[in-house]
Amino acid sequence: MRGYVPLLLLLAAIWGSSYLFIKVAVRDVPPAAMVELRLLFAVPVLLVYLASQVGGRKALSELRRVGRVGLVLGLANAALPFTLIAWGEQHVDSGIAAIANATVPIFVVLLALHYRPDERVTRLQGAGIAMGLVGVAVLAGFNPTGGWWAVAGTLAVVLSSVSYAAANLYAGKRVGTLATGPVLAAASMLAALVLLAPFALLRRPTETPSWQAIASIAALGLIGTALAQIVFYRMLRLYGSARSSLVAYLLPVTALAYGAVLLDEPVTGATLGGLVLILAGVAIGSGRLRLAWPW
Amino acid sequence: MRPRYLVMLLALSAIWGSSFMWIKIGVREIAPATLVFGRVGTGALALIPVVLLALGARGAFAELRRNWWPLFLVGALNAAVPFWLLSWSETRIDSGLAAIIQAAAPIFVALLALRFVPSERVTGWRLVGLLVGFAGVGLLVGVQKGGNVVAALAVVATALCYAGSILYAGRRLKGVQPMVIALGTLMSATLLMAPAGISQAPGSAPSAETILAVLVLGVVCSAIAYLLYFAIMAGAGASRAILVTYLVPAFAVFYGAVFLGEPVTASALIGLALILGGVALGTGAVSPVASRRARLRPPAPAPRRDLG
Repeated sequence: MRGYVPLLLLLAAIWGSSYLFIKVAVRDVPPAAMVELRLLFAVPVLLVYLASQVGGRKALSELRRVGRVGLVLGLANAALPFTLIAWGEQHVDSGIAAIANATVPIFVVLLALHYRPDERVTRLQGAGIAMGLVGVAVLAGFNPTGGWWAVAGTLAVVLSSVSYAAANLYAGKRVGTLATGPVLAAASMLAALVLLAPFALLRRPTETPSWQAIASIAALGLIGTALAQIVFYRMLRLYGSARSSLVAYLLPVTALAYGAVLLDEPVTGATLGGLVLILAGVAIGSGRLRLAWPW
Repeated sequence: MRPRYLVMLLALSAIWGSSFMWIKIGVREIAPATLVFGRVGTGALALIPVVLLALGARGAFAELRRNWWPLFLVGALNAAVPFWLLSWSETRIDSGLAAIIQAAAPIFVALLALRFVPSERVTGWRLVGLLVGFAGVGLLVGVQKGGNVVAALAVVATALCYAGSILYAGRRLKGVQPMVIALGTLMSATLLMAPAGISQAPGSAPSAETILAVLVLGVVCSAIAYLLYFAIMAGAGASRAILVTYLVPAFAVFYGAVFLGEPVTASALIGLALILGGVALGTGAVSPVASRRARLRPPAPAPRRDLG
């Protein structure tokens, strides 16, 4: 037990900060370009980490072996959701985005129902899923600031959750023996870097971004993406996926706190109601299905 | 003490003493959190090549990893939190005053040791020293007007932070390479300060003077100062290195008066005398009645790394 709680809190603190960094960064840099820059910071660190774990030559051969799976995950687990969240945060508070993004396990269950007919869901789990979806409605529907754009922003983040959930199911089927977490992370982020490049070039920032935006993107890439992944693998290795995925419950809470304290975002009844409904829905709804993060 | 170490000691005091002035210059323009983030970030960047050269990548990395949790806590308690408190307080009170109050850190070490180290006893002249030191702190906090009392108390809190982290590090990081402690502390403080530091950063580049202040704080007052401090510790012993505590506030008051035009008040001088006298007596470094036992007793735990 010693070491578990500190690691969990550290991971929640650094991962939760990414929503704040995204919010600050998209003030100056268009979403796709922002994600591209974020990946430019993160990918070298992940590659070096991989090489330090398994050795340079082995790392190369593993990356090559991942191939198409890495490409699909790069799209569904990095390029698409990262851009959707960045676009969404142009219109909603960072805390709201973090809460909307906590719905991933709910969509994993929903998608599994459709694509894996042998999966059964109990009545209680069904209620949990419904509760989570009501939470999304509360979060998006009663959003006081920004009208329809804010609703669209929340839904974009929810869509990113669907993308993560799809990636989770896809990886669950194929990854098993293929590769380890660090290999998949490095491969998929590298793939996302390539996939997003044309879109990033299409909409470049019109003027040189501010120091603040650049620092934010660097922190997002180095801390919120690379370091968070590395700490998460360490946690998976030490404590297993069931206990590691508990971080998903803490993430929206820390992100909400960062937004409220550092960006003066309002914490409304709808925000807290959505948070409670979604987290409770996740806890109840994921019940029997074994939930793992994409890797 | 060999002349070489005397020179190093003076240089270290001059450097640490100047940090209070640089903070004052920096927080005129940028938020305290941003100043601290820039400071610990550049400090860590400056130390990385030194540590790699001295210990090699593998050794340094292994030691950082082995001690990540204590290093993280020390980074919070010995850098992020006290730096932030101090920088915030300097938006309200004079830099020289902050340095004087912070010089009371060894008194808090003795006080906390009393509570947490069972074998530690404070009697006789050491007790008198603690009381005198607290009287000095009380005087300086008491003479502040209105909201500045809170700022002065924030500096007292930084002294408490340093004292706590010294005792904690002494127990949990014993035997870890000092350079690794310095780097690990600055790295985790950078991590901790990133959200607040970046979200409160100014949109446009700050003035050259502010950038200079942040760079000097990071490279000189953090990275180089640590290296100097450890070199003195290794070459001349902890009891000599601790002398820096007495010199830092003197330098800080001097810089504040000369470069920032801060007034040198009577209360500040009296408070300084009380605090330094209290530290000398309270840590057992000086004893009017030099009994054999007092002479044999090693001085109280040295406040390591209490940089402004």
